[in-house]
Parts: sequence; C-alpha cells; structure tokens
Amino acid sequence: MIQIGRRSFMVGAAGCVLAPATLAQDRYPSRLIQLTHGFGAGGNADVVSRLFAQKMKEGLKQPVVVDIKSGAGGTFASDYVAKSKPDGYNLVMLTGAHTVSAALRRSLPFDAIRDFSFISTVTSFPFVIAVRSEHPAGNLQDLMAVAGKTSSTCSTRS
Amino acid sequence: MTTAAEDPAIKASLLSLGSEPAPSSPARAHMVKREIERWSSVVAKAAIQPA
Repeated sequence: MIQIGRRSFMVGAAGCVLAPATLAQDRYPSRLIQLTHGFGAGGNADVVSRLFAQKMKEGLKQPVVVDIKSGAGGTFASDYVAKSKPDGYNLVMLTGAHTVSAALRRSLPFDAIRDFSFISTVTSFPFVIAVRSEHPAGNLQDLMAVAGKTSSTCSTRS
Repeated sequence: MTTAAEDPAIKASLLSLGSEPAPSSPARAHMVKREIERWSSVVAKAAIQPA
C-alpha cells in the first residue's frame, strides 16, 4: 500500500458576502440550511458531511440537512450550489475533486473559484494506491513499470 | 465549523475514518487556486487530455 498524499474536505457556499443590511433584516441562520455533497451515500464525504451537519445544527439552532447530488466527481453538487441563491443557506462539502475537475475538465458549468465563498477546511485524509498482496509491485515505481510492460490495460477502482 | 471540528466526538469519529480534523477558518480561495494550478501541472506533465 502506497500513501501518495493527503486531500482535504472543505465547506463552501455560493459566492457571496452577506451584506449587513441583509443580516439585520434576517438574522442568520433563521431557517433550514442545506449541506450538499456530490458523492455516494455512506462514503467518506457523506459521513463527514453528516458529522458536521449534526454539530452545526446544535450550534446554529437550525436544521442542517445533508443533500446528495452525486455524479461527475462532485461536479453536479458544486454546480447546484454555485447557481443557488447566495444567501448562506446552500452549502457544499467540497473534496479534492473540486480542484482536480477544474484542472482536468475542458470546461465546467461554474467557475471553481469565483463562484464560491470558501468557509473552512474541515478535515484531511490520505489517498492511497493499493494492489492485491501478491501483486509484484511493492511501490509506485514498480507499479508504473509493470503497467508499462503489460499489454493488458491497468484497471483502477476508487 | 471550527467548533465542530474541535469537538472530541467529531475528532474521534473523523480519526476512526482515517481522517484528521483540519479546520481553517476562513479557507481562502488562494488555497483552492494553488491546488488547481498544482493539478493542472500534473495533467500537463502526464499529457492527459482534458475531457
């Protein structure tokens, strides 16, 4: 098993700065907050979102509901929140996929930086490449050599 | 968010998942920008064709 780095979870909101006048009229938060993420139920993003939603609910005295809009490496969730009303009630739990997608996709339906207000990183976790125990590769260099030699494709799961 | 990340129960749950609490408030856009630049460099060096 080869650890290749750590990635972070970060909470963001549709790009906005809550104007003082708005806050005076409607003390934040005064209603349900939606925390969206773009990954599978029961996965790491989901568990982390639910842990924080529960604690936020206790601190903010308002319901915080986790909403899953999975697919496209989290892009659907990011797009949903990027286009939501910028009032602080639509948050998104971003993962490292947010920046990887921005680097990898020719175009995205949102601007990965300008369309969001980044509130806080919340946790970091390791990313690991693993092969079955009897595989000849003992490190990433070995694995790349094996992948380069073999005529078959090198399949991955995540 | 920082308060939640510092809660002992949350910390324990995160650690049990292999994650470490890493609150930073506010998370700055430049961190995201730096990450995008980093991965753009990886994509270019690996000659990955953007989808």
